[in-house]
Amino acid sequence: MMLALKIAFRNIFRHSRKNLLILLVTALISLFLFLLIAFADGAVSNIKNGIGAFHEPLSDFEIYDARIFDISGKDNNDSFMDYIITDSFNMQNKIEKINGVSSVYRSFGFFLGDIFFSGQRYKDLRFISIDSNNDDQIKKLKLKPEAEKILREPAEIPLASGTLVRKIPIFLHWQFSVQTDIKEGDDLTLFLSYFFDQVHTAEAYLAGFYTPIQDNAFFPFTVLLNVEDLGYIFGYDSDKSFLLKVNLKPRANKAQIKNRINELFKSYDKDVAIMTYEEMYGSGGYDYYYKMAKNLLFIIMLLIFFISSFGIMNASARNLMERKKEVGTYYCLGTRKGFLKLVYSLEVFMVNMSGCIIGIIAGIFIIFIINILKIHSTDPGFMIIAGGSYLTLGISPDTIVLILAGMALVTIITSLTSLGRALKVSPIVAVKESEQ
Amino acid sequence: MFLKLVFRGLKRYKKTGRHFFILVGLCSAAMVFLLSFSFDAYNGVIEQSIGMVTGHLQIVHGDSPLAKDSFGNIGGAGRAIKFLELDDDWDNWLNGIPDIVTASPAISTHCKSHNLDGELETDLSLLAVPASKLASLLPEAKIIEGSAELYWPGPGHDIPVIRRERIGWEIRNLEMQNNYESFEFYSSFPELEEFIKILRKDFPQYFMNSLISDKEELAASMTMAINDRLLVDSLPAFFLEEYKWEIDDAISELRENLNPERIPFLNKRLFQVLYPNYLRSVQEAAVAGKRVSLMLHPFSMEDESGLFTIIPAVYTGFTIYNQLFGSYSFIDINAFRYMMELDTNATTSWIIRLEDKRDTQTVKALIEKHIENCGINAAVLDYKTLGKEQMGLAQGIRIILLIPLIILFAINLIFTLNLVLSSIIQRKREIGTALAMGQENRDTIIIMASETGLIAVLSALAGASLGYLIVWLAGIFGIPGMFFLVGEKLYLSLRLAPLFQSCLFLILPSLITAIIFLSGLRKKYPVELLGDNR
Repeated sequence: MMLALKIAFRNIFRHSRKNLLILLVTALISLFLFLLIAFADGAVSNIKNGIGAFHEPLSDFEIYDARIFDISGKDNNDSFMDYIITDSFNMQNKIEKINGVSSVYRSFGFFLGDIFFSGQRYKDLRFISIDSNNDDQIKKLKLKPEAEKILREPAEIPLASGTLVRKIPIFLHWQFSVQTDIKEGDDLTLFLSYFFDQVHTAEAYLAGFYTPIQDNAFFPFTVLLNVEDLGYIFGYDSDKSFLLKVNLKPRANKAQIKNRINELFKSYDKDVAIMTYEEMYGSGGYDYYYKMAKNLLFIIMLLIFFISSFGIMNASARNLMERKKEVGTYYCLGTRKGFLKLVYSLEVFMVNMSGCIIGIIAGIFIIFIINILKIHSTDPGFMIIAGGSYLTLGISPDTIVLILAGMALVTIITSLTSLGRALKVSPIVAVKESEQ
Repeated sequence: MFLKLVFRGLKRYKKTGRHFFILVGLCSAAMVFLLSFSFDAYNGVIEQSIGMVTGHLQIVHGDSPLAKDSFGNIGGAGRAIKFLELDDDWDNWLNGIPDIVTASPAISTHCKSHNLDGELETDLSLLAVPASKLASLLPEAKIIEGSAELYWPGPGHDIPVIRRERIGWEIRNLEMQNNYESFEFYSSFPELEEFIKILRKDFPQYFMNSLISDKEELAASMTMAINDRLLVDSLPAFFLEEYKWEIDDAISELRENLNPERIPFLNKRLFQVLYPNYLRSVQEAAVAGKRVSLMLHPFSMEDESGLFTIIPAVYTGFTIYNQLFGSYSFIDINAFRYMMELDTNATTSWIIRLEDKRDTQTVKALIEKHIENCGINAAVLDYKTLGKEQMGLAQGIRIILLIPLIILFAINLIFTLNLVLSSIIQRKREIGTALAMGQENRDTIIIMASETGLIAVLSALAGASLGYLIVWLAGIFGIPGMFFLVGEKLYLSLRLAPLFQSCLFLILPSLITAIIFLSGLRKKYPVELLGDNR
């Protein structure tokens, strides 16, 4: 084996021109295919960091009052409004202490509502609550420092009479400043629909405009406010939350943690439903379309790979056919066909895989450069294609593995088919003056 | 003589030529397919946008958010919230322009659709247009169910609405109209036994003899019961001893119902009001003929507490829906103006459909000039501005598909180079002999380049044929997974342009590459080629 490797290595440099050509081809093909899929990966990542982070924020578990999923018709004076997580601060702290839990946030999910301002009603906006402790989400908003402070610390405003009132600070997408006359500090009226179309109104003011780090054409409809403020609008005090979102550490034991959470709530005589993200939202969502686009690109990649592999196989075999004298010499020296096949397979394998690895490394480098350049646009078309306002190329290990595996497959097929034919050489060729 | 030498060369080295032929053929087939895909996907997205939502042009109020450089159209998708008032003269003038197929006033807004029991059914983006113009104005808004009648007889009648098709849970809801599923029962198992006993006592004809041990079997038995149109007649009298409006409503609706397809749902509703502690309430699915109340906010409000307008409506049909960009539900504009107490000329936009997309800028310029002459505060927007997201998607598809085309181009180029260089090495003695016998260097280059060119031409054409076969098949069966199109399928069309483009990308570069690298033979002497055996 070592000898075969040594000979193969030597052959690579002996026929450097041809092998360099094949190496360049495989590198180029690998590079382009890698970048194609990287584009799709980047779009998915943009969605996850952009609109997905607010409309469908990922979490490992969502904890609800179990009665939500079994709304009883029993005449027992139960109010649906009671089907929430009470004592949410305490539960949040306790769950965070469970081994394997990374973070816990309070949430009211999202509700549709309208904003009334200066004779205009801006309809069907999506009101999304943010927990003060959710640095991950808040960082993605690029708020001014004073606006961020307001988001984190809901406060009551003193009237001249000394009475404290709660005027809800809300945060609107920067497109509101372009499309409307609303300015920071303006008073607004909110109309939100809770379940069963109960309409709640509240006096609010615009605390600031937010610019998501990954903007999206679907973002402008999103209104953000503190989770306690949203609860306040629905008549809840600050310690109540519609749900708790739980994020786990990598490789945490989900089943075990789920049981611990259940036990914790049972000790407070509370029955909760702990749902996973997939159970709640299924397979749909914003990133669903981009994942489908990635699948589409993947199919195109396979098509290109198929065509180019034919060329690579052909070129590899042709190069070998031009070395009949060399092959004949080996036979004269007593080399077996199997050994030669191994030598040339190793040669083809090393050239192909080197090209593939070079292409992938070049691709990673290009991705790095493009991501540093932070190519940005708020053109809606760009944002649709890129999944956000910044062009991001993503690196996914499965793409790398697939491209390497594909190239390895090409090599194996070449070894099994074309190489065999190329090695059908009579030893007499070695001693002939010409190869013809 | 040249031709003879070319064909002889091809015959002698047919193995090499065959491999090159196959490679270029595959590249050509792939290129034809990808070019057709790119063209049809691009046009499909744009035509869908124009034909379902935007039209080729829209005239909107000059202060409309649509006229600003923005995205997201806050307040609802694509809605301008300022009113235009263009009179009949405008209508005549616009529809008199030869390039315009139809121009129509439109009002776009948003509403909530409620069932008659008050429960919210869904949110709808509503577009009010003249009933007679819908088909020609937005031809891609295809009707998939129902009569799709939009004509309103007048006050006292429900207003017809063509609703956007059911999506997600609405489809599920429809599936559940005529049968029971186990999750529709509230109770845990012990209480379920109690419920079964009650059912056997109240409706023995349906449940006495059936063996029921779990929720699934109960669901099956109840499904059979609700499909009996005579269920309401076998209602035990004790249910009616004390007046309950829910039961009275359910019975009345069953007795007044003339549509046999609604019977299972109405029976289900009856069961639910009879046994509210055991059965979840069921929402009526959106079907053609369903009566609803559309709830709309007034367009302008002095203060925030303005009352809603309720429009009694009936779904007469369903139109297709695009998952990414949504779509409208339609209502007659005159009926809408009447109900919303708007002026007879009030519109939020005029939608214009043209004969040919290429006339868009010409017609736009014409209308803008007329607007200027009339001194109206209005803006003319084309489909590219109105459908920024869709245009971006269409462009993105094109750009992304450019990458595999570049790869194929590069593959072709590189392997042509490989072929040429290998040929030179392999045929050195032959070339040297030919030169020694008096053939010019230039002629040698021409012969060898012609061989490459001939293979490239034949393989490109053969590959294009294969590509067209695939395109033809894709035109019949469609390519699935096209989530950006309605129906999620792309049907390709046969056109000549991909053939010319693929030939241009393959044949010409191959020839040029061959000539460039063969030109190295220009200064070679026979002795150089014959003497060197390496």
